[in-house]
Amino acid sequence: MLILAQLGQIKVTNIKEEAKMATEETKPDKTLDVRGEICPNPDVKTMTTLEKMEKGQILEVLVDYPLSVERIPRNAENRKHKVLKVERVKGPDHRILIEAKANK
Amino acid sequence: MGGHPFDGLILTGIPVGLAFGFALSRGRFCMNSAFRDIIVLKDYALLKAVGLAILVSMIGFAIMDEADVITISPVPLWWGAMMLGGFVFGIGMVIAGGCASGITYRVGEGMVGAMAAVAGLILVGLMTTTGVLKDFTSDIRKGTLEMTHEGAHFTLANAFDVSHYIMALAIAGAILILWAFLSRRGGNAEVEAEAEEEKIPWKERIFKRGWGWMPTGIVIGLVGIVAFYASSEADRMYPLGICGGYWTTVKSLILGENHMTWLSVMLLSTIVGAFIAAFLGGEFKLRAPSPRTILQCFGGGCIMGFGAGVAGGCNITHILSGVPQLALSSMLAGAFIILGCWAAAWWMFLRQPGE
Repeated sequence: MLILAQLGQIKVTNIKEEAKMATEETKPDKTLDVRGEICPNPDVKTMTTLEKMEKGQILEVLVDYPLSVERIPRNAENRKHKVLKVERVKGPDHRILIEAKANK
Repeated sequence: MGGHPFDGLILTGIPVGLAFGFALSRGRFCMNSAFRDIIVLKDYALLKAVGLAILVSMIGFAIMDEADVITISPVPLWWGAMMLGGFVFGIGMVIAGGCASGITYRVGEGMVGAMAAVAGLILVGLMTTTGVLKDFTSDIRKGTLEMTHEGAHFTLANAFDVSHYIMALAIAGAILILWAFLSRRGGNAEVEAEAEEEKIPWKERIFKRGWGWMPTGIVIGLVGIVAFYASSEADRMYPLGICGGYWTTVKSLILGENHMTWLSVMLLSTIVGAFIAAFLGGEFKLRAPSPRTILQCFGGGCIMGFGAGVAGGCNITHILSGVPQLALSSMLAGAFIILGCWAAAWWMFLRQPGE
């Protein structure tokens, strides 16, 4: 909550900073939290969600299953989506940003 | 029962299990994913790892058998049990979200769903091999047993009256040539990806990152070779296995029915090895899916327990250890594990119910 409140502060007080952040860090249109889920649900849910999204929309996937962290990016690319970022949040928790149908 | 209550040589299962668990976790080595992803995700990385591990073990086993270090020991060809058990096991692993090796390494990584699957595997596995379903299992095995004229258990070599050494090396050679031919025709995307990885220091690549299919397949194939030798020096003439290890462990530690064996020591070490790999890689976390999914994992584990109990082993006993010995029983069980996997994967992920 504190973090959210701080983010709000930044938004109000420093619009320029926010605009700068937006170019560096694309804002997701949708977030998919598949932490804790078993194989292959993280992958299947990610791919079906991406198929339903509009071209150019950004999907954020939160995932903690190591095999899917490796498999989602390569399969998203194979399906003509664009992987913008794979980052480790903490331990096995990862955050993947994908632009839907970017290469279609 | 041998004369000694405790055979110190079963302790060689510790280093073998640690290495096995470490490699399973780093390589994310799961045959459920390997076979299921052929149809569901069209991803072939783990399939290549499984193929390479079998190839490496096949060559190693053949050389060791020829040198009289070990003896090729195929599981008996109980064809009915192999078909039924294999198919059921294949269905179960899709529902449980992992094969025997997959759920085992994920227990070490802290995944509660995998723990539920292991519980089901143990419970129904024991019922099938020594409990209420014992008679069913032994009937289907006895009723469908086929042996060679000399009373040996079938392999691809003795079925054609060829020496094991020649047959194994011929098959391995044929696979290698085919593989070289196919990879030549494929693109060089993989080569580029590997060049990219070159820049990462080796320590980080071994301990922190997931392994590619090639190191995974080679290491697991080599672990299988060492396992065959080590266990043959202790109490059993067979390479790696998983389900029997769980059952013996529970019988030994909880039910007090027998002693720990090489296999049970190796299996416990496998879980520890996977934990070490996950811990060093910063991937260990106790994590649980929804209660409904945990129940699903347990149910899948129960189905796997029945399948492995009837077929005399899981995907490790048959596909990773039996196929490289050219055992016809294991090839049949393996084929039906794949068929069961595809049937369940189609039902769960590909079918579009009334859309």
